[in-house]
Parts: sequence; C-alpha cells; structure tokens
Amino acid sequence: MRRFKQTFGMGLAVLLLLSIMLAGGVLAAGCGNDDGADGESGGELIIGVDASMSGPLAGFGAYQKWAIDKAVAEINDAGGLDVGGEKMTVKTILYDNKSDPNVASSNVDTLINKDGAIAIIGPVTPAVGNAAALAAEKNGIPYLETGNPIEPFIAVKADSGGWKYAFNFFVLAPPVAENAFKFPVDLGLKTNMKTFISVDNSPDGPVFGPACKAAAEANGWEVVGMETHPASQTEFNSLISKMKASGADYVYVLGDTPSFVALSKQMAAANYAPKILYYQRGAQLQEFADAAGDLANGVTLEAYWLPTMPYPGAAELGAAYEADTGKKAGQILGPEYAAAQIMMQAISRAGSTEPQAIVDALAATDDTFVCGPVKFDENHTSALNLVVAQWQDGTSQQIWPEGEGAVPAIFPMP
Amino acid sequence: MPSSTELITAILSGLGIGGLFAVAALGLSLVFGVMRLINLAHGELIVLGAYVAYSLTQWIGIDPLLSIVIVAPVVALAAYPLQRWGLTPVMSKGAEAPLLITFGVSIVLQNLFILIYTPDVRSLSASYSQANFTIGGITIPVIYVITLVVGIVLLYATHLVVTRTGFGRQIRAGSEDPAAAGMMGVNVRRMYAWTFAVAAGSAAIAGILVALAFSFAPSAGTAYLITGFAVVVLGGIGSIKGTLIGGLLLGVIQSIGAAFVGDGWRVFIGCAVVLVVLSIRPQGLFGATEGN
Repeated sequence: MRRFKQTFGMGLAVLLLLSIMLAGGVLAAGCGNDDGADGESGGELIIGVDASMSGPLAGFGAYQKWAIDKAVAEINDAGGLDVGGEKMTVKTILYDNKSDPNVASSNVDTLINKDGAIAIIGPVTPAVGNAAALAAEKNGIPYLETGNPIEPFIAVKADSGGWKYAFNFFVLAPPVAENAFKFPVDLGLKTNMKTFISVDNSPDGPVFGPACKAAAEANGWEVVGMETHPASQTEFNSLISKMKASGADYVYVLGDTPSFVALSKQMAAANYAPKILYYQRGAQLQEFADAAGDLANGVTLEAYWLPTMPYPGAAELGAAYEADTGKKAGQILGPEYAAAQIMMQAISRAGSTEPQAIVDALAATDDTFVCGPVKFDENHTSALNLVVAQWQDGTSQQIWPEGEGAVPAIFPMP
Repeated sequence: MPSSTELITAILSGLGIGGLFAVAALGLSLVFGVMRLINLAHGELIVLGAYVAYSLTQWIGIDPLLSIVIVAPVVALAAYPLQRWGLTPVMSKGAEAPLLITFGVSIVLQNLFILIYTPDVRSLSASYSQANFTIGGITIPVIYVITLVVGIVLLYATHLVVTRTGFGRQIRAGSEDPAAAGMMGVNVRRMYAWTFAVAAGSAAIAGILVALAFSFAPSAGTAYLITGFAVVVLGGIGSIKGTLIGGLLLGVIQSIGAAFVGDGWRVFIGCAVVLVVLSIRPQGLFGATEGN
C-alpha cells in the first residue's frame, strides 16, 4: 500500500508536469504543420505572433490575437497573399509571452528558428515589445509592433546604429502629454490649475513623467505633486493621501489595469475624487471599465484608436469585434489589425520572403490604415494621431478635440 | 516630509493591509510550520478563493463577505485530496517532489483561471468596499477595518484551535515528531491533509479580501505568495502569533515608508526591514519562543 501511494504521488507529479506542458500549449495558437522550417513550404508562409495572453498585460493579447487573425483570414479568404505572382496562404503561429520579457524574447527565437516564421508581429508595451524586437533583430528577421511608445523603442538601439529589422508605429510621449494637459484648457473646464502626476516604474515611466511635467507647465498648470509608484501596485493609500494633501484638481496617473481598478476603489474608499482623473495606458482596456464598474465613469484617457475615428474601416472593425465577441472594441484592436495588414502588404510588395526585401518594403509603407496614416521615418517609427477620450457608461468616448465623433465631457468626476 | 494626518493615515491603512497580509500568510505558516512544506501554489489558492466568490456573486448575488462561509470550505475540500493523496506520499522522499508538485499545481491553476475566466482583471464590489468614515479629520476606509478585524479574528481563532483543542494537539505533536505522534495513535497523514485544507480555506478568505480591497487576475497570486513568505519569515516560521504581528508590521512599515520616501520604495523598504530583522533574529520575531 505504501509503495502504491508513493508511486501514486510520483505519478501525480509526472501528470502535473504533463498538465503544465498541455496548459502552456493551450495558449499557443496556430494550426498544424510545424515541420515547414523555411516558413513558406507548400504555398504557405508563416508570420509569428508574440503576444501577452496571460500575466498583467493579458488584456492586450486577446485583442491582438483577434485583430491579427481577422486581417489574415481576410487575405486567405480572398485567395491568399500575392508574393511574386504566387498566391500564398498566410499562417500565423502565436506564442504567449506571459507578460515576461524573457519569454517574449525566447518566443521570437522559437518562432524564427523552430517554426520558420519569415516575419514577426510583436507584443504590446516596452516591457515585452523591446525584448521581442531585439530577438528579431538578432535573428535578422523583419519585425513590426505597435502599442510600444516610440521613445523607449528608439532608445533601445540609439547607441548602436538604430533598428535594422524592427519597426514600430504607436504614440510619442510629448503629444500624449501635451494633449493630456491641453484638453481641459481647450474645453474650458474650471479647475484650480494644480495637477498631481504619478507614473509607474515601468519603461514608460521615465519617458512620460518628464514629458507630462513639461507639458503641464507649458499649458499653465502648477505641478504640485510628482511621484513614482511600482508597476502593478495595488495599494495606493499613501499616494492618495499625498494627492488629497496636494489640493490638485487634476490627477494624472500612468499605470496598468489592475493598478487602476484598485486605485479607483481606494480613492472612493478614501472619499477622494479630483475634478479630472486621467489614467494613461491601463484604462484603455474594456476590462478596466468592467472591473471598476461605476467608478470608471468620468475617467479620462488617451486614445490612439476608437471605432468612431474617421479612418477607412474603423467603424466596421469595431462592429465586427463586438458582433464576434460580444465585447466592446479596445483601442489596441485597430493598430494590431493594421499591423497585420502592413506586414502582409510589405511581404507582397517585396515579392519575396527574403528578409531584407521585406524590410525595404516595410520602410516604404505610406498609406492610411484603419488606425490612420502610417509612414515610417529613419528610426523605423511612425506616430499615430491622438485624441482624448473618457469612459462614459462603460464606453470609451472621444471628448477632445471637439467635433465629429466627440461627446461632451463629464466634468467634474462623479 | 508627510504631515501628521498623512502619517496617521499611513499607519491606519498599514494596519488594514497588514491584516490582509497576515490572512494571506496564515496558510503558508501553517503548512510550513506543521509539514515543513513550501506550498508554491498558495498564491493561486488565494486567487481561487477570489474567483469562486466572484462566481457566487454573479450566479446567486451573494454578498462577497458572506460568501466566505461557502468559499472557504469549498476551497478547503478541494485542497484536501491534493495533500492526502498527492503530497503526503512523496514527502518522505525529500523536499523536491512536493515542491515540484505545488509548483505544477500553481501553473495549472493559473492556466485554468485563464481558460475559465479569461485573463481579464476582476474585482468584487460591495457597498462597504468603497465606504469610509471620518475620525478627527482622518478618513478611514471601511474595507481596511474589515481586513484588520478578519485578520485578528481568524488568526486568533486558529491560535486557539492549535493550542486548545485535540486537533491542535495532534498538529503540534505531528509537527514536532511525526513518527512518535504516529506511534501514539495520531493519523499523521490525515492530520497533514486537514491542516493543508484549513490553510487553503484561509487562503480563500484572503482572496475574497484581496478582491474586495483591490483587484485580481489569474497571475495575481505570485505577489501574495512572496508577501506571505516575507510575513512568515519576519514573524517566525510556524508561529501564528508571529504571522499576525509580522503581517501588521510589514503593512505598517510599507505604508510609512511610502509616506516618507514615496510609493516607489514601498516594497524595497518592506524587504529591507525584513532583512534587518533577520540579521538580528534569524529565527524571526517569534520563531524561537513558540513551538507551534
């Protein structure tokens, strides 16, 4: 009996290890043929996708997978991608980086060296995006990402000759910061012009902290508090005490979704509501509004894509996502859909799967996509146009600039 | 330099979150103290409690705090077979196999959470989770009073069970000398399994408090596992009183540290204090004086 139980225990250990491998495999999307190591066997080419499907950044991954799958399915349904006169089926293989830079990097190695991907679409945010981009660069394979602010992307290779294979289209910190502190003035929102700024210690923090301070002062705000908090922090009472003590009417915070849900709850519990509450990055996701409930109402945020933006296919993409998933479209949806289109168009224009030809074609991109115009500069970056949005009854709505697609702002915060 | 109001607020919120730390660490302390087992799945048991409570609130609309009476036993019963037939048989083979199994369980649970609930961030809401009251110009969140009270009551009750009941005697005997306890008629394996179940139940309670005060997601357990380790080591391994004091101390130190030098230093200051205490008292604050 004792021997049986010991064997049972060891068996359970083995079973659990197998379960780990199976559970990991669940998150690796893509189908079949792993033996085509050259990435284009049998009229099929492979694009690797490195996405955060679990961990703190998982909210982005779900949108990324859906958007890329849709863009690829549209090409395949239309007969495939024209590469040098031959119609090729596009296959994506996606690996979950678990929001971990080390995994993001090793995923890219695996996609290129084992799965034979001829190009990579990378994950969102600098924490994982830069690691994945470096891995693609090391392997000499074309790489495209969005959702990674341009400054930290450029900074990674600033001292070593710049990026050769990696491209990025997203936002620049100064316009985000400028908009954040300009919109209340433009909209005539009555405040005491005092602001409190807190950024997390992710790679975004050192970029957006100084940019926000400069933009605030340039727009006539007095910066009465400037703090840093750990990424993914959920305990904010000391910070809230400082916010209250500062007397600021406008609070700007850079952080991720779990932090913002917790911060909103603790602000309510501390009986504190600034007139304007601006959450950058983590409030973009629908899960923020779902988890925060009524507390999300009136929260202001940057918006680089909304279905209401006047770009071709934006409204249709948003409607398709809602119809397919029953959820509202997140901001990253548009740029990720565009990323897949940009990469596939570049491969098609290159007329081959040779890396340098694809890189040259990517560099020549100059078109308007579902997220607006994309044209890469000498740093391999392109900045998206920005608006300011606000959560209103569970939907992210444009409030600035006023005009087409914009709604009146909720002011002050409820 | 923080004002006196900010300092008092920091201490009070530190006590509140410290109570939560203590509840989160109680299961780790019990399991390590009794079985010398490091349960790497403890964080996921906390998150499991949060998800079970979340499901109950969605399905039957039960109040999250009230759901403790269902969630804690459910998670405890789910954990019982893992120890009884999964961990206990391999514990005699050394520390590696059980450690590996709990690591595996943590990964499997994380992936199950993603499959069942998606990776989205969740939160439990109730009127009291956002309520507050004011004393002397200082606003106190009700949820922190709840976490502190639950922490004190739960740890004191556990202390009483361990020191005043027959089951507690078995636990103490089994932890000090399993072979002798077995010869005296204690079913050590069953006692281990029930201890593990109780630890899982307390983790589930911590999960509900975390979900009410903050937010949770499939991978949120790791942070509470690390915090739990810090509390257990600070208070003294195996000491329930030490776990309570260690939790409160860590919460207050982190909050005061954040008030003085900024939130960016919160975790660093907590870890630094743990290291300083351990350099002076390697056994932790109550490790040598209490044998439970």
